[in-house]
Amino acid sequence: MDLSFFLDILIGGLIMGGLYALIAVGLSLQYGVARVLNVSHGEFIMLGAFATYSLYSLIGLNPILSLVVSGPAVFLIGFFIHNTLFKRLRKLSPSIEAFEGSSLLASFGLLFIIQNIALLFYGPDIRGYTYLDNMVDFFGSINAANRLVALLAAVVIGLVFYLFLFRARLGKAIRAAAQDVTTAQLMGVNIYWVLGLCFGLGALLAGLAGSLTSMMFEITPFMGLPYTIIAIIAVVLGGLGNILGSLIGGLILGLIGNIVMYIHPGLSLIAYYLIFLLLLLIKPTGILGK
Amino acid sequence: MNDKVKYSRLTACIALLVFLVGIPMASFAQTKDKIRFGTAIALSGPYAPGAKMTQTTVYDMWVSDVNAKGGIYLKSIDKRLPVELITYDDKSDVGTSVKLVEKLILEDKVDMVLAPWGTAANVAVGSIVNKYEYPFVLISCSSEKLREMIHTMPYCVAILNQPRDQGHDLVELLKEFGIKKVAIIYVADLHGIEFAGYTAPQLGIDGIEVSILKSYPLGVKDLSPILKQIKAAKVDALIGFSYPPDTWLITEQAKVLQLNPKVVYLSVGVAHPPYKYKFGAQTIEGVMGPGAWSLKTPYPGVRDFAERYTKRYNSEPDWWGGIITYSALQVYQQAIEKVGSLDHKKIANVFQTETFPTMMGPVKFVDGFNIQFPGNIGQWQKGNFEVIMPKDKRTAAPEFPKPPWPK
Repeated sequence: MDLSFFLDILIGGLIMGGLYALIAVGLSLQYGVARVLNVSHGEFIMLGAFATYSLYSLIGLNPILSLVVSGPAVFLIGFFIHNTLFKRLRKLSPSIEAFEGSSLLASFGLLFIIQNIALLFYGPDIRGYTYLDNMVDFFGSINAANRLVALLAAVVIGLVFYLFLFRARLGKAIRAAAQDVTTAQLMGVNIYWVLGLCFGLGALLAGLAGSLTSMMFEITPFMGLPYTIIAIIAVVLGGLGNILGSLIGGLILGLIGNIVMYIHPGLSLIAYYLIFLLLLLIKPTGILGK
Repeated sequence: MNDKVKYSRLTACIALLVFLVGIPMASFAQTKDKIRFGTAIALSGPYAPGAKMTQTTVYDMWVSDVNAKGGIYLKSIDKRLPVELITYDDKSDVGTSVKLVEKLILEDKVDMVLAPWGTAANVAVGSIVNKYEYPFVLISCSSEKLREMIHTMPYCVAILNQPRDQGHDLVELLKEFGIKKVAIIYVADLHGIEFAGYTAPQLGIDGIEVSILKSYPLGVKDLSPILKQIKAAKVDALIGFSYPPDTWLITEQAKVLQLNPKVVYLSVGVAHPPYKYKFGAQTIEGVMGPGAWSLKTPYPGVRDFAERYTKRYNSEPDWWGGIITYSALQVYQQAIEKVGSLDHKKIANVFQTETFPTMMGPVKFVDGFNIQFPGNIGQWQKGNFEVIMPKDKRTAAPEFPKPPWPK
């Protein structure tokens, strides 16, 4: 086994793992802080993908530059949805458990609404564009330039997000709300503003991930659900409510999936679910769960 | 009970009586003024992209074409009746297709049912319409399993070329090129499994080495591990029995890896215009796929159909199924005109016995299956999807070897 083979597995795993980590952290923010298990998470990925696709085909905007547009746009949509739908549900719910149940159902309805709006607007046709589909040779490991760019972007986004969470004041407020909503409120955190922000940030990460995937995979209004499922697995794997845990969960899924690909491609899907089952048997609260 | 209540109750009863008796009598008095076609097809869900491209757009275009000429002529009433199409969304769910088709038959009382999209849906709907004795043409249905079932569905006929037609021609083509060593990868779904199950052993019988035979799951996101193995194995031909997402993935990753065998044959999606729109004609030059028909297919109306379709939908038609769907509709129309009425038994009989001159050539059903096709395999050459198999249907000589992927 030489260096290039090892790098193949590592880089390939990190590319998918990086994407899954972005998506999982987004979902984890929404569930861990705003307590919404958002099954329409994948639809925000789809919106990001369509935004980048539209900008690329209409005005030729570089997909990486389009992140600056797609991210904030999807953030605003997420923030708006939280403030109109989930905030109201939360205020009406007698308990946090009741809210978790009703918000799950509401997000289920949201899935169909967003999907069908996209369907009305774009039609069901399968779309795609090519961007940077050339070879990059890194110490013998050959990868597509667009995939390496996606990995780099995921790392940068992750770093920026980490700095925000641990250095910015708003980030502190989010971490406080994640630990204990009531105490955070007592400490002067404007809680509904922070919850909306978290939901919006989760959507933003999904939108950015969608923009990145649009460089590599097909785009349809129905592309979102498989990503939602992976995000849920990664979030549970890492420990419900633990943001770092979901990042690790996403990376593990990407890496293991890639390793299994080398053994037999047909087994990779089975591998995901096996990891999931094994972990739940050994440590049901997840890797970093309490 | 005071008079006012009594009076209003009486009025209500009379009104109800008039409504219950009058309306049916009125419709009985109405003569038939249109021919109703109905379909339950994927307008949403994962099958929607394929359904729109191959069928729904063609259905709508055919209805406009027929009505522009005044409709279909019925000898029995000496009248030309316009066609109406009711389309329901089955949400890419076979159970929903079946339920909606029953609704079309029992409630909407359609005269004819048009096929949904996909093998499973076609077979399920075919069984149901057969039960209600509706003549039916299966369109986007390709599976050797159908051969076992069709004799239980005497009202149904299948117009599309089947795995044994396309698989056979693929093997013949590889033999013609003198291919010695192939790699086969296939999606772990009925389509991939059936095609791989036919082709791999057949190649072995013909002395061609299948050095790699691997499946991959639906929705796979990275096939570079297996493609790297295939590159190292230095095969003459890469064969992929794939669905559009994987067809795109294999194309992109083979290009990145500069995996350049002499033949690249991928499956569903190659003949579809989005493939050309995503990659561009130069990248896909020489890629082969199942199909097939082209502008040069020598039957009346082909070029006109392609041009009108492109103008109406701002996209080229599907070079795999476009004229197949239109030809199926021509079969319905010709059968109705031949019988002179909408008698289901007579039309079903005509399906099984007559030959229909259509855009895809003379359609004739033997034991329920069409026996003649405009092509089985096509190849992208300079932005056109040319028919390269069977030999007697070639619209261009096959390009061999495939030029290397552009860097």
